[in-house]
Amino acid sequence: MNRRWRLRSLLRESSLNVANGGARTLLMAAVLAAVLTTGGLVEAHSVQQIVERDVDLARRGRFVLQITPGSNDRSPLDARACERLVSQDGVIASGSVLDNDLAALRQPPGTTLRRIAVTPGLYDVFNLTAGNSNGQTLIFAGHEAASELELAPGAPIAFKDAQHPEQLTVGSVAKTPVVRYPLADRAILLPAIGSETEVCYVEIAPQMFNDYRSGGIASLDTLTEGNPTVAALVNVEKGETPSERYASRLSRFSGYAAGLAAAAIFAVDLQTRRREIGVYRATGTTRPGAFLIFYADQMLTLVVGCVIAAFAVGTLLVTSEVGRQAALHGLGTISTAVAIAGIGLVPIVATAICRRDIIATLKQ
Amino acid sequence: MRLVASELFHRFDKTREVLRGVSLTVHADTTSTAVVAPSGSGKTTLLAIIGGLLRPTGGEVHVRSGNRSMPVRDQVSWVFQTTGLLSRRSAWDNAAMGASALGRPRQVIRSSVDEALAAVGLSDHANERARNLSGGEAQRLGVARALATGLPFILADEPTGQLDRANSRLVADALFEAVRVAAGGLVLVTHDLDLASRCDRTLSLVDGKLRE
Repeated sequence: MNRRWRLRSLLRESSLNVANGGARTLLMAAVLAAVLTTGGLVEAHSVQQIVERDVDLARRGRFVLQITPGSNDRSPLDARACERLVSQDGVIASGSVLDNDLAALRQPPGTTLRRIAVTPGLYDVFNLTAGNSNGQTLIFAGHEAASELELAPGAPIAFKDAQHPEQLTVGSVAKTPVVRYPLADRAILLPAIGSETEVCYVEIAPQMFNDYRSGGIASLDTLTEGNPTVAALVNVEKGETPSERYASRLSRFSGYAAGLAAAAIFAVDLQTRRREIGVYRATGTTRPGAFLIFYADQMLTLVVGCVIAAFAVGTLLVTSEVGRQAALHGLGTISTAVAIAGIGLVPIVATAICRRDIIATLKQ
Repeated sequence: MRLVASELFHRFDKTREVLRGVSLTVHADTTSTAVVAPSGSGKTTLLAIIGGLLRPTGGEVHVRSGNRSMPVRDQVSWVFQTTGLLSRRSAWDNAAMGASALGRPRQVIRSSVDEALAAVGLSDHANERARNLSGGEAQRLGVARALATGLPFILADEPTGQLDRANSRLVADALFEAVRVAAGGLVLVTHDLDLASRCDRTLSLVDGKLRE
């Protein structure tokens, strides 16, 4: 009972300190509000941009190729073609081949047709062309691509010709290396098509270079032959789109930043209140007690700051897409980071101050 | 009950020795002890060690009641040279700090603080913020805070050091009255020889040692 009362007594001290803090409390709460709000809004704005990009992609229709990396992870994208991709704002134009298109194809005995959806954009970008050889349409792709696609040279392939996008063209993989890599002027088959992998998508954008590198799908260096103009190839089979992953990372970053900033503010506040801490200690408050008083004090101030932030940007957060995205992606992480930072950093400073300031107080 | 300090040694920075074997016993029987010494001689250090705020380099301090030994921090209260108040809080809140830290029940705190403020003549200022009090009132509030704890020993660190003559007398009166009411013991360090002469015993701290 006595311990519980003592705890209540300490918490009462905290609340009284906050209530009587006047300008100090308001100033600190306002600064905290600004820190939290800024982080959240920057984050939400960025998330919104990502979402808008996704919406744009969806509007244009996705996606490009069904991809399963080959065992040696080699994807002979042409460097110049990649540059062209980048110049097209990093987004491959969309298009698709329907399953029933394949059903209509003549399937040679002993072979398995696989689906390749080649978009008009890809077709243009990579100068994918077809030609006739002995009455058959060929896709200009060399042995290496054929190998990665697990397609034997001469194996049939269906694709849409840019000049005849309304119909599928049936061709076959070249039997001889008709394209030299990586500087070939034409050529491109992205690797490996499998019936199990229904949905993958390729997105190439310079800012996502690192995403690709950590994606574990293929080496960017092999994709570009060391020319880092291509940024990303992301496998959405993992159930996470690139934008979600990016948003999550951004959310964590802004959360940590806000948390550290808040902790720094707390630490500075404690430094300016060393005398108060000393007074508490000298009048009989134990070290944990003094710590609890000031920690609870700061947490209460943080709550006040959050309330101010909520009122200050409440309308924006509630009514706008920015706010919706912030709620979806960021705010939970921010509060968690603040708590972690508070738990981790502030007690260290508070304990150090509690330890050393009693005599200084006596001499003041 | 008695507060016993035995063979206290203390040095700062491993070289500057301020206490060299100080021993002191204070009984909780309304007696008062003054320690006088020039500035920088270690008075405050001695008081901090006796009050359990500073660990001595050597020696020990304890409170004994019969054969029972008790923690020093739970038996002493403080009056500071500079009042050591929380300026934004009310006089009442400041007076309640010590009692509150001891975990006294709210009712007990309420009555003891009201009594203490009355004893030092500050009942009318209970709701004023500490920063609005005059120097003498603030110092008396410091005494009230010590008195409200109800602890047997009061340690006062130059309690009149920054006051004029009239206020010094008021604060001193409050201190001696507090000790009389609590039937406790008072140890005060001071430059003020007039104040020291009002104590039952006066000691000098010279070269790190106490002398009668």
